[in-house]
Amino acid sequence: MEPTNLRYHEEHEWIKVEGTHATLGISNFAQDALGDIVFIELPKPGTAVTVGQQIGEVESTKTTSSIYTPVSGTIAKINTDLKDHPEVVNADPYGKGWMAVIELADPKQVEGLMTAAQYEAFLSSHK
Amino acid sequence: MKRTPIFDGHVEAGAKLVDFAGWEMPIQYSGVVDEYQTVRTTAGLFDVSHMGRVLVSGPGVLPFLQRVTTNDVAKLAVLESHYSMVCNQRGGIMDDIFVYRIKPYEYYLCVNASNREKIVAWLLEQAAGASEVQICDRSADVAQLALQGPASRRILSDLGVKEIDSVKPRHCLEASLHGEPLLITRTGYTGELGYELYMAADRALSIWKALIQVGKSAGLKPTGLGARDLLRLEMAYLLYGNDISEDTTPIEAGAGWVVNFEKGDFIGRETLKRQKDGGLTRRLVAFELLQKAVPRHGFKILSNSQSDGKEIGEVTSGNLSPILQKGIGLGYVPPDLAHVGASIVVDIRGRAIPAAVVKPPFYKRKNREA
Repeated sequence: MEPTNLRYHEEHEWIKVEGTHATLGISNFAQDALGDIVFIELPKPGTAVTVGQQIGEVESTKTTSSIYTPVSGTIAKINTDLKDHPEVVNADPYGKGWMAVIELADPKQVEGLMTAAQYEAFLSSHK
Repeated sequence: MKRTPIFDGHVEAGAKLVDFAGWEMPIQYSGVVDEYQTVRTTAGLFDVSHMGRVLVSGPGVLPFLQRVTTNDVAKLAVLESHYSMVCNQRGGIMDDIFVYRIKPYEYYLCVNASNREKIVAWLLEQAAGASEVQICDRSADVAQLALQGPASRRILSDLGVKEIDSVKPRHCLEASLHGEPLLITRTGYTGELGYELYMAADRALSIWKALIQVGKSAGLKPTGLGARDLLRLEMAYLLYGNDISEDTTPIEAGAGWVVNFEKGDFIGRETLKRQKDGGLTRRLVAFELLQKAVPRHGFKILSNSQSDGKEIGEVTSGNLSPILQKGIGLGYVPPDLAHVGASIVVDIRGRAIPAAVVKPPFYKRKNREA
């Protein structure tokens, strides 16, 4: 079961909205598909990002995957703990494995994202 | 997909299974990095039964193997083995193999899963007319396990193979376990102390289970192909299909040490000799990235941007080394850059990351046992 307080994107990112800011990470499905994560590249705070843009990369022992932002805005903060401990994303993708906080340009964009139930249906239809 | 005799053991151990050269094989169990660490610190058990095992025998076997492989088979005493290559007439690598001399006129060739049918057909073609050589593909009735890591010797000893202490690198032991024959060779693909075990396919799962049981207290775990690839890359061991193919030669791949020009003629010799005598246009090198990033198979290698930054080669294998915490890789570069310390650049999705050519292996084993 995916956490119901989050919104999800087709590229397997999640977003948690708190006021004008949204925390972003990758879903449990994404971390499991990637396998052991060994290195994460995140944007610098202050970077302006637009919806659908690639903002970083996740490297696992198997492959490389891009991180896309499902919302526009400005990177307010990144999770610097991931620099030395990228494996935290495998262990806790919805908690300590968060990647960035984005100051939202348009909070309405979040409404276009999937709910937990919709994301679960999306995952099962793509199996 | 084909399954090895260990398949039920993989499912029971919670393996993530993938298609590997037409075989349903475990890519990982507990996780690639954890399994990697297990092999580096205690011991891991790999099922490598998907690989091909071809028995070549008969009175004419030595001259035959001298002609179809690049290394000097005459140097192998009974129960010794070596790494070698099978080349085509152009010197291109048809497969990289291990040759085990089991009896005076009996050799096992361990070949890559993806090349098995091709190599068996090639050997039969080359042996046509030579009635003194028999070629028998034993892949289906013999299974193969690799027990690798500093605790591997103790585990075999605990299992009852007391003679294991006397087995030197690349030597073989004809042991028996519960009354059944078991061939043990001190070989592997990880850089650690380790052994490979050959046994009848119908006995393989029970031996797998016995090893897991006996080895548990020493930290033994089943380990998959993901960890195997990381382990071999840190040793700069070649992977067929990535680093070598029929379009590359042993000399280009830096495997000249398994090509013996003194033993007489062999298939591919002319091209390889010409390359060895100065006719190389590219050479496989090991490199480390100077910034944290991960090189991957197929990425472009560029000349140092201070010169002209143009494309000069390609990455053939790459990953993040768990032990060095650096991006490491193998790739082909022009011969003038194939020296330790040479400065190159790897194009990582449009970013030019500086790298240095280093002396392989990336990982050097400490002399220890667990």
